[in-house]
Amino acid sequence: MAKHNRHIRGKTEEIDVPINGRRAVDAGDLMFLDTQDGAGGLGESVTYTGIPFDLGQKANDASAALVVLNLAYTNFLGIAMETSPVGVTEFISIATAGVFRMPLTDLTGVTIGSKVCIASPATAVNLSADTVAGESSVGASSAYLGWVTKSGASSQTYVEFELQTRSNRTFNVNTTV
Amino acid sequence: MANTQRLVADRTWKPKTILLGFTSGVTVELGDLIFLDDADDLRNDGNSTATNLGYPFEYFRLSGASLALNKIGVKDYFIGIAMDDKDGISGGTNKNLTVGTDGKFYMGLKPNKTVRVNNMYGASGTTAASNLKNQLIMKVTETTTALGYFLESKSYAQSAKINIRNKQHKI
Repeated sequence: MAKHNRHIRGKTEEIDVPINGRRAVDAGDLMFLDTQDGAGGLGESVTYTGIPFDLGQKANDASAALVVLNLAYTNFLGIAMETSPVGVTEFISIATAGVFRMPLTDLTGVTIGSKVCIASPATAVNLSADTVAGESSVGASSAYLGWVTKSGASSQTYVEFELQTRSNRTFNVNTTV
Repeated sequence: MANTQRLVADRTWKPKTILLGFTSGVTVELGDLIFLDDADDLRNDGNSTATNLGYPFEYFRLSGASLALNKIGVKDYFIGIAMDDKDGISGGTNKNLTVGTDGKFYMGLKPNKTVRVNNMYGASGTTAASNLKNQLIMKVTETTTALGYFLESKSYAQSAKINIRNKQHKI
């Protein structure tokens, strides 16, 4: 849960995405689209709604962790720009572009042009909705979320990056997911 | 189809436009899907010379191509959506029109389909003449025919918001 405005600069190219009332979303959460049964973490059929990374299905072993990572990556929507409480089914704005600043899961140095990715989950633990991993940091995956826009020496706690989603201009339908 | 403003006003989006030339004899309407005629044999059933001008989708006809092949073929030449209109005048001079190449747009669907955010769309058309439609799109599942993505979820949509993934986004 984030409840932070992570946006730094640039047009956010927002889209309206439905949110199921069974889940709470906080502004600043990394979001993916529920496109298959069980992906939403509540054992339900596919809902085609936006799900915060930390409320998706958990991985009980290493191979399942890859499945969870891939699911969140291939259906990555962007970053929530508003909050939606439990009990309310509504549409919220999700940013699909722009430069954002988010905490790093592990302290690490970051360099302009390197990638930011989803932090790999530990067994039986949800993905993180409000932290990301640097390309070379411990536990980093290849599920990329964008590119670093500001370099920092070792032991950085935050990273600034330009969001890469399906909907924004940095991603093309010719690019293999 | 009549002139229709397809651009969606949204302060979080920054539309991009270019000025593109159109030959005098071609009628262009606001909201037409446009391809860039920058290779030989893209029009007139595969019998044309590259003009490096813009044309509405209905002019895209490869040699002996089925509707399915025209949908695939137009992908590589898709440039954007007309933001201006002009009448076709035989023997006149070419005219530059504004074409939207990036931004959030609203297009009609044929056939109506349930679409989700991040689903892909491609050109729509009529089977009988293998003609592509100027102002209609359809949901597709293959990247070979995809021209961009839907930006909203809708049940049995007659129209939906989309973005543009054209030649300018391929790098």
